[in-house]
Amino acid sequence: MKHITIDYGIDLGTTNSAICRVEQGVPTIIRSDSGMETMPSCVSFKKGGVMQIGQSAYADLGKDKLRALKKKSALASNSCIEFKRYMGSDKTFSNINMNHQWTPEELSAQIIQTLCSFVTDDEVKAAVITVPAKFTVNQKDATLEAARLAGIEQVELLQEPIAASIAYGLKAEEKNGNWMVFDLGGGTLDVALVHVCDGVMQVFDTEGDNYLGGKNLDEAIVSKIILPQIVSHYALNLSDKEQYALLTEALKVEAEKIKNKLSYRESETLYLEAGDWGEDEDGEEIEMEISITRTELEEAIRPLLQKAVDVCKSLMMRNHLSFGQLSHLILIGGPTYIPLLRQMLREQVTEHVETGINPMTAVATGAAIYASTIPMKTSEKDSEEDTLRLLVDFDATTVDTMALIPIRTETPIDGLHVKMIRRSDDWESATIAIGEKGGLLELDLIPKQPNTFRLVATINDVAVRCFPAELTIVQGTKAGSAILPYNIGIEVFNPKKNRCVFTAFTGLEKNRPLPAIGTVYGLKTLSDLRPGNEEDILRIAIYQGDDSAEGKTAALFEYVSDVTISGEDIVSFIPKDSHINIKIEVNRSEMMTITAEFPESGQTIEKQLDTSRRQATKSTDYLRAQISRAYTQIDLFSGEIENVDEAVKLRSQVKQIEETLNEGAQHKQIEQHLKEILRQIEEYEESTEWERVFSRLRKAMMGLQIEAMKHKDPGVNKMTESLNAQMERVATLQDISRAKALQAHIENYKYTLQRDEIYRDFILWADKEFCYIQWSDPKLAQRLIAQGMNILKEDPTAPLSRTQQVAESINGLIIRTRQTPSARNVPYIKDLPSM
Amino acid sequence: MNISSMTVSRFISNNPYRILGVYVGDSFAKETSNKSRISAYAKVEQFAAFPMKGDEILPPLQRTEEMAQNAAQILSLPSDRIKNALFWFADSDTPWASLLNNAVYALINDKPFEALSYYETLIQHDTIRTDFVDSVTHGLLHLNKEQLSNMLMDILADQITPTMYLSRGEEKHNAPYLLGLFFDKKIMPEINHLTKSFWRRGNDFYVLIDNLQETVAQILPFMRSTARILGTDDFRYKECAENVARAIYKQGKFIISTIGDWLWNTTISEGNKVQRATSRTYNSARICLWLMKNLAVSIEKDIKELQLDEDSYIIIGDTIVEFETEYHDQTNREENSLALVTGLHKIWSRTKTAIWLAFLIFIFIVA
Repeated sequence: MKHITIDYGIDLGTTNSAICRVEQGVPTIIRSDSGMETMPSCVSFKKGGVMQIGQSAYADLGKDKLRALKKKSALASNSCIEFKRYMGSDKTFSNINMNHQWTPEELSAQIIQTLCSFVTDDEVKAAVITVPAKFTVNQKDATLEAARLAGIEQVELLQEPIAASIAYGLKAEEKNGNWMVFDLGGGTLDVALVHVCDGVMQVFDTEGDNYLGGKNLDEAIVSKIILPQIVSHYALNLSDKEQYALLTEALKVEAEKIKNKLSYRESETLYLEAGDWGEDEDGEEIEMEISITRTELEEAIRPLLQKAVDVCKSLMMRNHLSFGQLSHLILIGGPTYIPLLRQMLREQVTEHVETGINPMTAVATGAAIYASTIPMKTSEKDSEEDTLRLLVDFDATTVDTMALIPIRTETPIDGLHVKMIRRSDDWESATIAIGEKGGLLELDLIPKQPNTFRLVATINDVAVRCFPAELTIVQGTKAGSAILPYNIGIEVFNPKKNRCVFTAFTGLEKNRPLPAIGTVYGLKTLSDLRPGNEEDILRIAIYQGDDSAEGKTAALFEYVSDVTISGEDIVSFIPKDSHINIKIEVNRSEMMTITAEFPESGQTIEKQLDTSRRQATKSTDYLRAQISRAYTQIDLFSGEIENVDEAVKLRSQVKQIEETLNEGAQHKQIEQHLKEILRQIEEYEESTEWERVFSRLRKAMMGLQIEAMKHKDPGVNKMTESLNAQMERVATLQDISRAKALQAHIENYKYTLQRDEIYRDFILWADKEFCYIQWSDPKLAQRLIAQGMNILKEDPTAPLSRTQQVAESINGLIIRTRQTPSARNVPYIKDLPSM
Repeated sequence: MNISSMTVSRFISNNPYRILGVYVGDSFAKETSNKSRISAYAKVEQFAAFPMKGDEILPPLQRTEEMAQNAAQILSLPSDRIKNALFWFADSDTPWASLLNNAVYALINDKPFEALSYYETLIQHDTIRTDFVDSVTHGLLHLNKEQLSNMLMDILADQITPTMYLSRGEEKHNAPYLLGLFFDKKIMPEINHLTKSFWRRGNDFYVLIDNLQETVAQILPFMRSTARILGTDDFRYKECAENVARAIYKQGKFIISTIGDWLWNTTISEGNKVQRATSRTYNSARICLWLMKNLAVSIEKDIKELQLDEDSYIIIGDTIVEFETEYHDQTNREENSLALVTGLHKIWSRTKTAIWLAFLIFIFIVA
């Protein structure tokens, strides 16, 4: 079957996957070999290396987990599930039947290959594959790798909420307003806001959680309902982490079934059959019935559902949308069948919750419709010898009732004329001549439906076969392009903050449609780059961050990759502090190419960003160290301010993460949440910086005012009054740098007022501590101290003019002082800056 | 280059709205449709035409596919839509459309301050501003007047020269808010830059004094214009004036100290008492003292021009104290009289010698 557009869409889900194809503008879900619209994302390995994929693997999942539980070994489990959660990481899967360790990409490739095999009348060479909106670049790269391993030559990625909104938009009656797409799948949550105007759909903001999905609900059911009941009847050792994990995995399979059934029933009974679940610590075989009501289930999963609803609310607040301003809330994903979730969304987000679309297949459907707008990469060999190849460009979806179709040929053909005839009513377009530069054909479209046209080509009035032979344009809806889910930026050293901070690319802001180009100007190199010297390296680290990322510590955001430019890449010397401009081009699938320009030397270097490197999973020790760092930072900043509510809240969040780590949660998830907390701590530090700085300034001013009262000098009073007025001015402006400068000024002036006393005390201290001080010239020091003491004997209140020279000379001879208790009160002689 | 040609070429002629053949406030559907049209024509090496306002004055435009894609990309974010909408026409009967069109025509006709007065009304009036922002972003963005003003002036500030600002100070103005923003963005940094350009090197105090006076002569017109535009009660004016006064006093103190260091170049020891004195001639001493006094008078006069109020004088009181202390130290030393006496003594000695010589010559002649 020859395609001029991609036409195939694949929803590669954590729990279930699906494939859809568009034919003549109509999307059709391709059913599996067992007649189902979706297929479980499950792969199992039998002895002899035989693989089972999809429904057959899933049917054995329960028994497989029980077998692993009985054998007390994870390797005894032959099934692999939830591998989508590990895409982009270095995690591998292994069991005794595998001949090697499998990566998540390889397992996903098996799922994609199996889905494609359900298409019996065509070979799938190109497809659009959906990914969660908040997937990082590394995770997306892993998805592309999976597609490549599955044999798909042309792959485009599409964010799941966009796919869902496309599918819904096709059927929706009302095509204006703000829609929200709520996609809660097996492993991830995506929420997107879509603005629709006269049928044109554009996603304008997204939010999500890559570690919140139906699987988390299953875990909650196990930990809060099932496990406590088992523990209350049997003696189980839950401190053994591996055994606990095996038991939980086995129970999750049952929990999922219970969860699904309780969407339609009020209560359900779980049977733990004898012989399946092993024995407890006392040797007693585990066998019991556990009755679970819908109410109990809802209580167990409510906090997680609330977390999902909070994501919606946060997204709306960020975009100044109130309850009721959403015209539609579209539900996607299996867990959205849960009645409690629907109720919570109706109460807290909007009343207009749409349930008319199939939440299990909408994403695949939307992906296929999007695929029908992307031209297939074709070559001459794709068309037959006696067929005329036409180059036809068109938008497969449109809101216009008239379409302009440019038609060209690769080489000019004399006497070539083309017209199009609509299949449904035989409407004919005008016949146009295709000249050297081509020709433009105007088509009238029937509103709100696919319009399929047959191309009729003649050369000197003789009909010829042409490719493409027909095309379809869907009138009534227009999908916008995919958008950047994050700001893309680089790590730049900020001398004021003394750390590397996130600097966003102009043009690669969050929500910018793809493809996009971003630039950063005005940077400087930190070291020399000598041509031919591979040790001279300029590293450009790329990160992705949300709207608050600008100016914050880059390492607290998601690292994408880095590009290194070494001396081997350049032809002439680039000295330190040379200007460098950086440009990044991001394609539709978020793959990036970086160009670094050195304007002073006229050199430009272009490199592809390597996103294939998998993110290493952080160790438990590392995570514990980060948690400890978080506690320390909170304590440091909260010590100087009055309102500590925020600090209390942050500490509690860190504690929750610590507990999650102890419970054995996925490290990547913990790392992500920990980074979020550290970012909040940094924001907290910045937001309270003024309060802390002003507190120190006020203290310095009070100290000065006390000192000034000792001096009955109008000049001192005038100075103090002036500094106090400046403090009030700074308080009005809340200017931190001015406050710091003023504090230094006040402290210096106070020192000036105290200098008489300080110098006198210094001479007395030097005399007292003489034997404990290391002198560069002890005899001279002794003479000077004697001189100073004589001055003080004559006049115990001798002014600075009498003591300054001798005290400074003594100070100049000191090499080191001993750390005696009195040393803590050493009068300190310092150089004052010129005022 | 004047404002007209720069703004016209960068923001108006090549405005993304113009490229897509739409007016500010037109629907997304129209933008998308026009973009497709431009692309279709471009593929057959033709150019799509969209007759629009301003075509009679602006340079003609040949819309390529790349231009259309870039324009659509620019208009993809609400904030960028607003930035570009401020420099293109609208096609509706709403108040904001009328103000916007007038502003754009004024820019094209090289009347930047007339444009500012239209923008000021568009921005300051809450209902008009909200209506404008909603129409442009289709409700996806909310901006208060500060945010919208900053967006406008971030672009226009680069287009208005300081000279134009100075001339504005003489005329009645209709855009005080926007001009105040312009002051913040351009004039204040310019003044700060000038105050930092006082010389602190060398000890040729004539050159130092000249530098101070020339720089102050550049600063004061800006301050006068700002005083007229914002008023001397304006917080920004006060801040700026205080910074200028502080800088002048500090530089004055430095110069006086430099003169003093040259003048009081020796020391006298009387027992334990050590004092600085001068070995300079009487005339040199007199000139130095005169320079210092003259400088102080000149500084006082300049400070008065800044029209500081009482609060400002208190705030810069520390700098005034330092200046006055330095001036007092350098001009009221006991050694002053010593120098003068020494000088006078020398003059008297020389005068006495001259009289004796004259008398001897007279006696000789008479004799």
